[in-house]
Amino acid sequence: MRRAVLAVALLSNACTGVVDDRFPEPEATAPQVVAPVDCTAERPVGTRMLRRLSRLEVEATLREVFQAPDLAFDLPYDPVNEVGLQTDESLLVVGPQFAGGLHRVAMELGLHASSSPLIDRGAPCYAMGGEDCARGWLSSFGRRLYRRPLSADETERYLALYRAIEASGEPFPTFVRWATVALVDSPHLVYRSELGLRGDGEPLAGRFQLTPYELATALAYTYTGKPPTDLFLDRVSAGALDDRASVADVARSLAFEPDGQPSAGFRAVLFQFLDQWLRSDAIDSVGKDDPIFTPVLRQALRRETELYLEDVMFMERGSLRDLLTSRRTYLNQTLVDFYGYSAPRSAEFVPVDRPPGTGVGLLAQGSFLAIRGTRAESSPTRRGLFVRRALLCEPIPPAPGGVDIFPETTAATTRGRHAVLLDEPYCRSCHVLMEPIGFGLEAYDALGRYREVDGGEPVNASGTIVGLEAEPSFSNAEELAAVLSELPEARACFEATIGAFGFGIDTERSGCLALVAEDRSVVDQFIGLTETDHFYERVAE
Amino acid sequence: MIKRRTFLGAAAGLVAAPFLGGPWSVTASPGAVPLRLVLFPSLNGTRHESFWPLADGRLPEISEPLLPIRERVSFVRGLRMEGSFNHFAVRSMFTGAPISDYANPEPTVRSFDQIVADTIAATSPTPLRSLHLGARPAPYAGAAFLGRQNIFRTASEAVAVRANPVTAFDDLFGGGPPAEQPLPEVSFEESALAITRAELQDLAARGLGPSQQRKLDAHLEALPSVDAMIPRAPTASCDGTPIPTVEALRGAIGGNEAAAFEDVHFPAIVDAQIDLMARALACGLTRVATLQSSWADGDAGVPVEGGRRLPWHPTSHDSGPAYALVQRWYVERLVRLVGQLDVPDPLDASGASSVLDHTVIVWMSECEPSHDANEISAMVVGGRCTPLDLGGQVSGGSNLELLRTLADVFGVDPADANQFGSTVIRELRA
Repeated sequence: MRRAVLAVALLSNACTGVVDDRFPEPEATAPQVVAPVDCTAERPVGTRMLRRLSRLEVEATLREVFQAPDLAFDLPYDPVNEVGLQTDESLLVVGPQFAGGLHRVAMELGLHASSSPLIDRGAPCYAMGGEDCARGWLSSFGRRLYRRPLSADETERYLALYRAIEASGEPFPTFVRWATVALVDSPHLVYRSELGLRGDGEPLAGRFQLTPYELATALAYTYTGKPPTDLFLDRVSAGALDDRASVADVARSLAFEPDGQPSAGFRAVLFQFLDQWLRSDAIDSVGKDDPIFTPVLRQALRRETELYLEDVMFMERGSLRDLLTSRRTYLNQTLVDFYGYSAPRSAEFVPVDRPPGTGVGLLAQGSFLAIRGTRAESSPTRRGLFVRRALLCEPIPPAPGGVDIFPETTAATTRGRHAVLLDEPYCRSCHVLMEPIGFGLEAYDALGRYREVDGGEPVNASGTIVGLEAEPSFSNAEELAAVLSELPEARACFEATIGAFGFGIDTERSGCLALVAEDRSVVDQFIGLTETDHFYERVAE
Repeated sequence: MIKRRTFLGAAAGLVAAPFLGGPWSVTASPGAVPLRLVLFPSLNGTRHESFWPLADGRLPEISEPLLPIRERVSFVRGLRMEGSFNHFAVRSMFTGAPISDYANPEPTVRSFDQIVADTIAATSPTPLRSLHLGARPAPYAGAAFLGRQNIFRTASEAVAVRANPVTAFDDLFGGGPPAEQPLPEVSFEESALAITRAELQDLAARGLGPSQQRKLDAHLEALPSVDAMIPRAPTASCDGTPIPTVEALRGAIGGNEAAAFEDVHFPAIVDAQIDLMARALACGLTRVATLQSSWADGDAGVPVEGGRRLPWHPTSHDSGPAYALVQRWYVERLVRLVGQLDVPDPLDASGASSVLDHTVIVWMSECEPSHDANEISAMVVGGRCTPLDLGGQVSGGSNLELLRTLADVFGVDPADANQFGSTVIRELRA
């Protein structure tokens, strides 16, 4: 992936500035040492890995397999990587918290699975028991949870448990109970295996080819957020994924209904991606001094952005360009009053085109702006930081220690106060990367409302994206959105971010996987993950 | 539909019994009553002139609320934060790990609470290994603020802090013992875990690279904590008698993790968590607990006179009288905890001592409001039955010395205690 030349140079020069307030962009868990992808390889692929399921994937898996929609979990939150994603394999580990939370769920499910109704609905042999029955039960539940048939050795361990339970005089459901506990605690449930088998002969020499069951697991979680269904596993065993050319078609069949509409699972996955990328959850609790920022308003702002994303991604099949530049948004009465637009005041959300000059696209969404504002002011730092990190994939380091007080200034406007950071060499080294972009969103206040005056002065929303080869300038938010939508760096970053989410790696690695940074629709970019060699192959670490 | 089973769900053999007013249904210790530990960090530093005892022994504005329990408090002066400063020292304060910046990788050593919890688990385990409560421990649910948020950790990950006292109460006490469930068959549960271990070893045999092998190592290291959940010998019972401060929050934040991070609830959550912690410690559910109020560099609103709320960290930076109000409020919270623990200790067969008598509470800041960390505020609050010399002022060199001193008090294996060096604060020992 291309990186901003100047930005890197600046950052290597001891970044000593500070982020402006107590609510910087949430910072990533410290990155772990990971095996890089060889970008120079003819067909670059990543290394063999065990991807721990995310918290949401664990929950979806167990609810799905055990038909237990009300199952409660207390698994810890997943760690966040540098661009906000919670799927980074290098950070997802099983520590005591996770293992303990999972075991509590395992114990719940053990009781659930061995309860009378489920046993009664199961195979007839459940009433009588017997080793063959235990084997049959394993081949059903075990295959769903491991996403592949159990090996002979694995089966034997469970049968040893069965024999011990039978010898103690306990009935068959007791075996179901404790076998369920072991299955749920199993590393074969917790980790998505992407280890593959060593290939032989060109072009696979030295490479590990993912097995059909590993591919099925990748397809199912990537495009439905859930494990493969029994039917899918049956098809895999019949050779459905033996032909690489058919995998993209399978991906589409998982992602879309026969009528072409996205499936519920795919829709949920895409929204998980966007929620993590945009940190949408923060709207619920970001602190604001203004009492009008009520829970009702927060909810409305969040809903507006959800409907906006639904419109662009699914109704319009839009691309990153559309995400950044669509003039349409969705407002209800609460938001019409909040923004002050002359639009229908409806209890329901209705599509509305923003008045010209008041902004377009994602960067004009009230929720996006409010999350990236301070309690009482806009924040060119945080807004610029999002563009740098999330839209350009540039590694801005966290604020250093030692200083976190704003330089003295009498400036009346937010822009004026932040401009001081660009005058101080100590601060400038980092803030020059953020403020000149964030200034482009100065026409929006701390809550995300459009404004023309700040501190008694007309808003100046001009700025520059420093550090790119072209150093594009803009005079307002709409021009900023247009500039970003045309930047090849932004397109490559977005593609890499989708790759990072789908493949469970960081953007640095996914940027090397020969993703196609075209202006394709967001949904097609997700499907396009199957076009990479990484989807099928790995190299040793 | 499955009913939520909780921490105590694993301890299916516990018998419900009223907690307040007895009779106790706990196993009292025939010998020495075990100690309890509370870590009570006070983030963003203190206003020195209003915190430390005056030359004539009087307590100034911040510490004045400690007067009724003065004989149980030792101020520990002169501590520097070893290997760190500024707010990122939150990761150093109880681990002793050097942290040089916000971007510093996470420590790979346990914090003091986890070391003590492991020591207890290996000798006289409690139903809950350790309890970690918070009040707005981050700006919003799920936030991950490197260097400002994670204070307590195992060797491989930050400890999860429970921010919602209502769900924490429900998990810990609400359901009471599971109804009519047979005792778990310990041997079967152990067999199930043995399968997990064997499968991890299978994976390790597949020639993984070093980064993937580290994951399996961490997973294997986590299994003893699962093993410790098997309810072999429950020793205490804790009932579900409502806690008023928790119930007062139920309508506003019950079941809603995001709401627990709304600043409007911050003061009430602090009190509720203190009451919840006191219940868990007193009834023997756990003997290690931590409370994290706000995050370092955070702006949780502290209530002061006149109905005002002062943002914690921004107010610290003027280090003036307003910050004394903030700090005094938090000292009052400490006093609240002490009061809650001053109840008969069910683990004492003689019935002569209180829970507080067998508790050590550690108050520590990560840095000073100036961001220096050359004299952090620190106190040890404890009971008469702890081997500590309390009631005065002692001097120490660093947070490591304080932690090493306390590690010895808790009988931590020297191999583990050496994480904090070998120097102790002799004045603090009885």
